[in-house]
Amino acid sequence: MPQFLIGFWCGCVSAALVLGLLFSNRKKQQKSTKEEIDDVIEESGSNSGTGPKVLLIDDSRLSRKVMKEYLAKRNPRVYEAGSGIDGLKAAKNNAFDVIFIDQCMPGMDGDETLHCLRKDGSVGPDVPVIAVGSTVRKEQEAEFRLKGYVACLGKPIQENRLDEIWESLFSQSEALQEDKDPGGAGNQESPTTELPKDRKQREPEGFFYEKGLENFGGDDDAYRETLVLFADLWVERKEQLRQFLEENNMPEYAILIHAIKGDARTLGAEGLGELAYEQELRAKAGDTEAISSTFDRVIGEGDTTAEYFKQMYS
Amino acid sequence: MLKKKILAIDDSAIALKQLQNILESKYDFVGVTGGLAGLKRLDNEAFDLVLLDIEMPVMDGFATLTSIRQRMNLRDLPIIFLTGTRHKEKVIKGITSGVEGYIVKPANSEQLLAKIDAVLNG
Repeated sequence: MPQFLIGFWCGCVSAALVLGLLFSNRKKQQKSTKEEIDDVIEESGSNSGTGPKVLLIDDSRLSRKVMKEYLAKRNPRVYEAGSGIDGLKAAKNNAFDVIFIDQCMPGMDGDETLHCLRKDGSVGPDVPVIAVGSTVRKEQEAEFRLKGYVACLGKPIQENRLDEIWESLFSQSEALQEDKDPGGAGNQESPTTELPKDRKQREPEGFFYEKGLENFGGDDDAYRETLVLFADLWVERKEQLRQFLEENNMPEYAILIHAIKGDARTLGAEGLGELAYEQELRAKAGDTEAISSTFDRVIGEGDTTAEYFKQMYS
Repeated sequence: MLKKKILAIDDSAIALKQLQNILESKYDFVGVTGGLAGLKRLDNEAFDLVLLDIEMPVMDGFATLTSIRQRMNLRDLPIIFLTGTRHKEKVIKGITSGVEGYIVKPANSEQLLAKIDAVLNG
């Protein structure tokens, strides 16, 4: 690769990082509803775990939920961040014992997040950070160590692999908390980044209006217009998906479900985005059986989401 | 002062609408669906920068990029990849193919504007 290209590329990335940090600082003065909620929850002390303080940085709420369930027997104090920026904010206000970072996040990805956490000093070199991701394999651990992680964890999360990592980090200092507290962390509430449930009674569970709106620069009209466009497109798209599945045409299925995933995430429909993402991976692997078995679920989620968009914003 | 012209090539109308919403106040924005439509537009109009989605049906981002670079007058046209994934091999392939960077979708408005500004005004 030409030297100038490397330099230019690094320059672009650095500029983006610097601007990202500047932006995050500026945003502190204009707190979003979500951030305000985060603060309230943190201050309320609702997280009553007694184990290590854990930060989960992942844009997928579903993935965070799975991680929390697997970690529950350790009785940790779990904090969640739905993006790299939110992760930086959480780390500035809290000292964590371990941090899990998803590698594939919109905006600031895992490596950039780790870089910023270490660079601004909010996370010291002694704090273990684990790379998490659907393309991450255990064999890549040496590669991740070079980047500054202590371990890596693939998705879907394997509980025994998570246990293995946890033991390597805390076996000297912590006995399993489940003996002390049979109820574990399942009885406690972790801070969450969810929006208020009463915003709209019929709002689909995986839909986050504020997040989608942010992707449209706060332009409410344009955002709502696009939500309706998505609903209109969905009618045709779901029939195309059905057709590709019937024809066993996984390459085309993968491309279409990829577009649906991207659109859903852009619009804040994370529930649908997550399901579509799982299907995209299956379709790319040519796994028609897996696609068939989850097809109705994806269509059902899409129908619910599209119907909601249409009813609320037409 | 004349606004700089940006062409966005993406198979998703939603993605194009989002880009248009963010960019149209600052740039002269044109969005087209698919690589072939993008090439046609580039053959008839001059642009300052192209935002190019990687995963598209028929002609994907890499094929579109190759076709763009084969045109002598477009060899130096700045191109930023749009990608929904962050697969390392794809990013490396993009860099070695001569793009100016990439944006992970969905990028928020500040990140998108910052990246474009960095490429156009370096």
